[in-house]
Amino acid sequence: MSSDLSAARVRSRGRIAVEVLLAGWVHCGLFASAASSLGPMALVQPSYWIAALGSIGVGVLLALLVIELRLLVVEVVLAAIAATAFYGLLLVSAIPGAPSFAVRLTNFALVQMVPVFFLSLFLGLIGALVGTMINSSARGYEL
Amino acid sequence: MSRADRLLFGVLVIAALVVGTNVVVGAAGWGRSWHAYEEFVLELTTVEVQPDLDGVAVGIRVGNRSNVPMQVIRITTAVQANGHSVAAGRLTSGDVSLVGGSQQELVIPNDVLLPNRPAFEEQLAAGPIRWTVSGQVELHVDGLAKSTLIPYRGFIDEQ
Repeated sequence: MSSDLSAARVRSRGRIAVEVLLAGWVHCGLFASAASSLGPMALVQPSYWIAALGSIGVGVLLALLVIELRLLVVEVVLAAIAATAFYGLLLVSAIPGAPSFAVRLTNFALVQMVPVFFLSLFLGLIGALVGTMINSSARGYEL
Repeated sequence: MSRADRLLFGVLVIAALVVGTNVVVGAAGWGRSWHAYEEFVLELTTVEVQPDLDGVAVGIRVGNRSNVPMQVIRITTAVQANGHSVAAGRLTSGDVSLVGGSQQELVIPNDVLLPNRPAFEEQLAAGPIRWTVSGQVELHVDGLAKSTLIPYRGFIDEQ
Protein backbone atom coordinates (compact mmCIF):
# COMPACT_ATOMS: atom_id res chain seq x y z
CA MET A 1 0.00 0.00 0.00
CA SER A 2 2.68 2.47 1.04
CA SER A 3 4.89 1.49 -1.90
CA ASP A 4 1.95 2.11 -4.26
CA LEU A 5 1.44 5.54 -2.73
CA SER A 6 5.11 6.46 -3.04
CA ALA A 7 5.14 5.20 -6.65
CA ALA A 8 2.12 7.38 -7.40
CA ARG A 9 3.87 10.34 -5.76
CA VAL A 10 7.00 9.80 -7.85
CA ARG A 11 4.93 9.58 -11.01
CA SER A 12 3.04 12.75 -10.17
CA ARG A 13 6.31 14.57 -9.45
CA GLY A 14 7.58 13.51 -12.85
CA ARG A 15 4.38 14.71 -14.46
CA ILE A 16 4.56 18.01 -12.56
CA ALA A 17 8.14 18.47 -13.77
CA VAL A 18 7.17 17.81 -17.41
CA GLU A 19 4.16 20.15 -17.21
CA VAL A 20 6.23 22.90 -15.59
CA LEU A 21 9.05 22.59 -18.15
CA LEU A 22 6.66 22.53 -21.13
CA ALA A 23 4.69 25.51 -19.79
CA GLY A 24 7.91 27.42 -19.04
CA TRP A 25 9.24 26.74 -22.53
CA VAL A 26 6.00 27.99 -24.14
CA HIS A 27 6.11 31.18 -21.99
CA CYS A 28 9.77 31.71 -22.95
CA GLY A 29 9.19 31.07 -26.66
CA LEU A 30 6.21 33.41 -26.81
CA PHE A 31 8.12 36.23 -25.11
CA ALA A 32 11.20 35.63 -27.31
CA SER A 33 9.03 35.96 -30.45
CA ALA A 34 7.46 39.18 -29.20
CA ALA A 35 10.73 40.67 -27.88
CA SER A 36 12.14 41.02 -31.41
CA SER A 37 9.58 43.77 -32.10
CA LEU A 38 10.23 45.75 -28.91
CA GLY A 39 9.86 49.47 -29.46
CA PRO A 40 7.63 52.49 -29.07
CA MET A 41 4.88 50.92 -31.24
CA ALA A 42 4.91 47.67 -29.27
CA LEU A 43 1.31 47.91 -28.07
CA VAL A 44 -0.09 48.02 -31.60
CA GLN A 45 1.94 45.02 -32.74
CA PRO A 46 0.01 41.72 -32.86
CA SER A 47 2.99 39.68 -31.62
CA TYR A 48 2.56 41.16 -28.12
CA TRP A 49 -1.11 40.28 -27.96
CA ILE A 50 -0.43 36.79 -29.34
CA ALA A 51 2.25 36.31 -26.67
CA ALA A 52 -0.07 37.58 -23.90
CA LEU A 53 -3.01 35.43 -25.00
CA GLY A 54 -0.67 32.46 -25.42
CA SER A 55 0.64 32.86 -21.86
CA ILE A 56 -2.92 33.09 -20.55
CA GLY A 57 -3.69 29.95 -22.56
CA VAL A 58 -0.80 28.17 -20.84
CA GLY A 59 -2.35 29.05 -17.46
CA VAL A 60 -5.75 27.74 -18.64
CA LEU A 61 -4.18 24.47 -19.85
CA LEU A 62 -2.35 24.01 -16.54
CA ALA A 63 -5.57 24.65 -14.60
CA LEU A 64 -7.48 22.08 -16.67
CA LEU A 65 -4.65 19.56 -16.25
CA VAL A 66 -3.90 20.09 -12.56
CA ILE A 67 -7.37 21.00 -11.19
CA GLU A 68 -6.19 21.18 -7.56
CA LEU A 69 -5.80 24.87 -6.81
CA ARG A 70 -2.74 24.82 -4.52
CA LEU A 71 -0.73 22.62 -6.85
CA LEU A 72 -1.86 24.78 -9.77
CA VAL A 73 -0.48 27.96 -8.18
CA VAL A 74 2.80 26.16 -7.41
CA GLU A 75 3.04 24.95 -11.03
CA VAL A 76 2.32 28.43 -12.43
CA VAL A 77 5.06 29.95 -10.25
CA LEU A 78 7.51 27.17 -11.18
CA ALA A 79 6.62 27.62 -14.88
CA ALA A 80 7.45 31.36 -14.62
CA ILE A 81 10.82 30.50 -13.04
CA ALA A 82 11.45 27.89 -15.76
CA ALA A 83 10.56 30.47 -18.45
CA THR A 84 13.09 32.92 -16.98
CA ALA A 85 15.79 30.22 -16.89
CA PHE A 86 15.05 29.16 -20.49
CA TYR A 87 15.19 32.78 -21.65
CA GLY A 88 18.56 33.26 -19.95
CA LEU A 89 19.89 30.10 -21.59
CA LEU A 90 18.58 31.26 -24.96
CA LEU A 91 20.46 34.56 -24.66
CA VAL A 92 23.66 32.95 -23.39
CA SER A 93 23.55 30.27 -26.12
CA ALA A 94 24.36 32.95 -28.72
CA ILE A 95 27.76 33.72 -27.19
CA PRO A 96 29.78 30.96 -28.95
CA GLY A 97 28.46 32.13 -32.37
CA ALA A 98 29.44 35.80 -32.22
CA PRO A 99 31.36 36.32 -28.96
CA SER A 100 32.16 40.03 -28.94
CA PHE A 101 28.74 41.19 -30.08
CA ALA A 102 26.69 38.57 -28.34
CA VAL A 103 28.25 39.36 -24.97
CA ARG A 104 27.54 43.06 -25.38
CA LEU A 105 23.93 42.55 -26.48
CA THR A 106 23.33 39.73 -24.03
CA ASN A 107 24.35 41.88 -21.08
CA PHE A 108 21.83 44.43 -22.28
CA ALA A 109 19.17 41.82 -22.98
CA LEU A 110 19.55 39.99 -19.67
CA VAL A 111 17.45 42.80 -18.15
CA GLN A 112 14.55 41.30 -20.12
CA MET A 113 14.57 38.29 -17.83
CA VAL A 114 12.73 40.44 -15.26
CA PRO A 115 9.66 41.07 -17.48
CA VAL A 116 9.82 37.44 -18.69
CA PHE A 117 9.36 36.27 -15.09
CA PHE A 118 6.65 38.73 -14.08
CA LEU A 119 4.67 38.50 -17.34
CA SER A 120 4.79 34.69 -17.27
CA LEU A 121 3.68 34.75 -13.64
CA PHE A 122 0.85 37.28 -13.94
CA LEU A 123 -0.48 36.08 -17.29
CA GLY A 124 -0.16 32.48 -16.11
CA LEU A 125 -2.13 33.31 -12.96
CA ILE A 126 -4.83 35.04 -15.00
CA GLY A 127 -5.03 31.92 -17.17
CA ALA A 128 -5.15 29.74 -14.04
CA LEU A 129 -8.09 31.80 -12.77
CA VAL A 130 -9.93 31.39 -16.08
CA GLY A 131 -9.12 27.66 -16.09
CA THR A 132 -10.38 27.28 -12.53
CA MET A 133 -13.64 28.97 -13.52
CA ILE A 134 -13.95 26.48 -16.38
CA ASN A 135 -13.22 23.62 -13.96
CA SER A 136 -15.88 24.87 -11.53
CA SER A 137 -18.54 25.28 -14.19
CA ALA A 138 -17.63 21.87 -15.65
CA ARG A 139 -18.16 20.37 -12.18
CA GLY A 140 -21.49 22.21 -11.95
CA TYR A 141 -22.59 20.65 -15.20
CA GLU A 142 -21.09 17.33 -14.10
CA LEU A 143 -18.89 17.17 -17.19
CA MET B 1 -4.35 9.66 -17.44
CA SER B 2 -7.87 10.20 -18.74
CA ARG B 3 -8.62 10.96 -22.37
CA ALA B 4 -9.18 14.65 -21.54
CA ASP B 5 -5.83 14.73 -19.71
CA ARG B 6 -4.06 13.21 -22.70
CA LEU B 7 -5.72 15.75 -25.01
CA LEU B 8 -4.71 18.71 -22.82
CA PHE B 9 -1.19 17.36 -22.42
CA GLY B 10 -0.98 16.90 -26.19
CA VAL B 11 -2.05 20.51 -26.75
CA LEU B 12 0.71 21.65 -24.35
CA VAL B 13 3.31 19.52 -26.17
CA ILE B 14 2.20 20.80 -29.60
CA ALA B 15 2.33 24.41 -28.34
CA ALA B 16 5.85 23.80 -27.03
CA LEU B 17 6.94 22.32 -30.37
CA VAL B 18 5.42 25.14 -32.44
CA VAL B 19 6.90 27.84 -30.21
CA GLY B 20 10.24 25.98 -30.14
CA THR B 21 10.42 25.85 -33.94
CA ASN B 22 9.71 29.56 -34.11
CA VAL B 23 12.41 30.31 -31.52
CA VAL B 24 15.04 28.13 -33.25
CA VAL B 25 14.39 29.87 -36.59
CA GLY B 26 14.46 33.26 -34.86
CA ALA B 27 17.67 32.44 -32.99
CA ALA B 28 19.34 31.41 -36.27
CA GLY B 29 18.39 34.83 -37.72
CA TRP B 30 19.73 36.45 -34.56
CA GLY B 31 23.03 34.60 -35.01
CA ARG B 32 23.35 35.75 -38.63
CA SER B 33 22.62 39.37 -37.74
CA TRP B 34 25.20 39.26 -34.92
CA HIS B 35 27.80 37.93 -37.35
CA ALA B 36 26.92 40.85 -39.65
CA TYR B 37 27.35 43.33 -36.78
CA GLU B 38 30.82 41.94 -36.14
CA GLU B 39 31.71 42.87 -39.72
CA PHE B 40 30.63 46.49 -39.25
CA VAL B 41 33.62 48.85 -39.00
CA LEU B 42 33.59 52.20 -37.25
CA GLU B 43 36.81 54.26 -37.03
CA LEU B 44 37.39 57.70 -35.63
CA THR B 45 39.49 59.60 -38.21
CA THR B 46 39.58 63.33 -37.39
CA VAL B 47 38.47 65.90 -34.86
CA GLU B 48 38.62 69.50 -36.12
CA VAL B 49 37.79 72.63 -34.17
CA GLN B 50 35.92 75.31 -36.12
CA PRO B 51 37.71 78.68 -36.29
CA ASP B 52 34.96 80.48 -34.32
CA LEU B 53 35.14 77.79 -31.57
CA ASP B 54 31.38 77.22 -31.92
CA GLY B 55 31.69 73.66 -33.09
CA VAL B 56 33.81 70.57 -33.52
CA ALA B 57 33.65 68.44 -36.68
CA VAL B 58 34.17 64.73 -36.03
CA GLY B 59 35.25 62.53 -38.93
CA ILE B 60 34.09 58.93 -38.73
CA ARG B 61 34.76 56.12 -41.22
CA VAL B 62 32.04 53.47 -41.40
CA GLY B 63 32.52 50.26 -43.32
CA ASN B 64 30.84 46.96 -44.03
CA ARG B 65 33.10 43.92 -44.38
CA SER B 66 30.19 41.48 -44.63
CA ASN B 67 28.30 40.60 -47.82
CA VAL B 68 24.97 41.80 -46.39
CA PRO B 69 23.93 45.41 -47.17
CA MET B 70 23.61 47.68 -44.13
CA GLN B 71 22.21 51.16 -43.50
CA VAL B 72 23.47 53.55 -40.87
CA ILE B 73 20.29 55.25 -39.68
CA ARG B 74 21.74 57.56 -37.05
CA ILE B 75 25.00 58.34 -35.26
CA THR B 76 25.19 60.34 -32.06
CA THR B 77 28.45 61.83 -30.80
CA ALA B 78 29.62 63.30 -27.50
CA VAL B 79 33.04 64.94 -27.60
CA GLN B 80 35.38 65.31 -24.63
CA ALA B 81 38.65 67.25 -24.56
CA ASN B 82 41.06 65.79 -21.97
CA GLY B 83 38.07 64.31 -20.17
CA HIS B 84 35.98 67.51 -20.20
CA SER B 85 32.66 67.37 -22.06
CA VAL B 86 32.75 70.05 -24.74
CA ALA B 87 30.35 69.26 -27.57
CA ALA B 88 27.61 66.96 -28.82
CA GLY B 89 26.08 66.21 -32.18
CA ARG B 90 24.22 63.73 -34.32
CA LEU B 91 23.94 62.65 -37.92
CA THR B 92 20.41 61.79 -39.02
CA SER B 93 20.50 62.98 -42.62
CA GLY B 94 18.80 59.93 -44.11
CA ASP B 95 20.16 56.46 -44.41
CA VAL B 96 23.84 55.96 -45.18
CA SER B 97 23.83 52.79 -47.28
CA LEU B 98 26.78 50.43 -47.13
CA VAL B 99 26.81 47.58 -49.62
CA GLY B 100 29.04 44.62 -48.83
CA GLY B 101 32.75 45.51 -48.77
CA SER B 102 32.22 49.29 -48.98
CA GLN B 103 33.16 52.14 -46.66
CA GLN B 104 32.29 55.81 -46.31
CA GLU B 105 33.74 58.86 -44.61
CA LEU B 106 31.22 60.85 -42.59
CA VAL B 107 31.67 64.24 -40.98
CA ILE B 108 29.44 64.89 -37.99
CA PRO B 109 29.02 68.49 -36.83
CA ASN B 110 29.05 68.92 -33.04
CA ASP B 111 27.87 72.08 -31.29
CA VAL B 112 29.77 73.51 -28.36
CA LEU B 113 27.15 74.40 -25.78
CA LEU B 114 27.46 77.66 -23.90
CA PRO B 115 28.09 76.13 -20.43
CA ASN B 116 30.92 74.04 -21.92
CA ARG B 117 32.61 76.94 -23.68
CA PRO B 118 34.95 78.04 -20.82
CA ALA B 119 36.24 74.48 -20.29
CA PHE B 120 36.66 74.08 -24.06
CA GLU B 121 38.71 77.27 -24.39
CA GLU B 122 40.75 76.32 -21.33
CA GLN B 123 41.67 72.94 -22.82
CA LEU B 124 42.50 74.48 -26.22
CA ALA B 125 44.82 76.95 -24.53
CA ALA B 126 46.44 74.24 -22.38
CA GLY B 127 48.09 72.47 -25.31
CA PRO B 128 47.83 69.00 -26.88
CA ILE B 129 44.39 67.52 -26.45
CA ARG B 130 43.24 63.94 -26.18
CA TRP B 131 39.84 63.88 -27.86
CA THR B 132 37.38 61.25 -26.70
CA VAL B 133 34.36 60.62 -28.89
CA SER B 134 31.58 58.33 -27.73
CA GLY B 135 28.00 57.68 -28.71
CA GLN B 136 25.72 55.24 -30.45
CA VAL B 137 25.20 54.04 -34.00
CA GLU B 138 21.75 52.86 -35.06
CA LEU B 139 22.30 50.21 -37.70
CA HIS B 140 19.91 48.31 -39.95
CA VAL B 141 21.01 45.01 -41.49
CA ASP B 142 19.07 44.08 -44.64
CA GLY B 143 16.73 41.16 -44.14
CA LEU B 144 18.11 40.38 -40.68
CA ALA B 145 17.49 43.18 -38.21
CA LYS B 146 15.20 46.21 -38.24
CA SER B 147 17.64 48.32 -36.24
CA THR B 148 20.04 47.96 -33.37
CA LEU B 149 21.84 50.54 -31.27
CA ILE B 150 25.58 49.94 -31.03
CA PRO B 151 27.57 51.91 -28.46
CA TYR B 152 31.11 53.03 -29.37
CA ARG B 153 33.98 55.01 -27.87
CA GLY B 154 37.26 56.16 -29.42
CA PHE B 155 40.29 58.42 -28.83
CA ILE B 156 42.37 60.73 -30.98
CA ASP B 157 45.54 62.39 -29.69
CA GLU B 158 46.18 65.85 -31.11
CA GLN B 159 49.67 66.16 -32.60
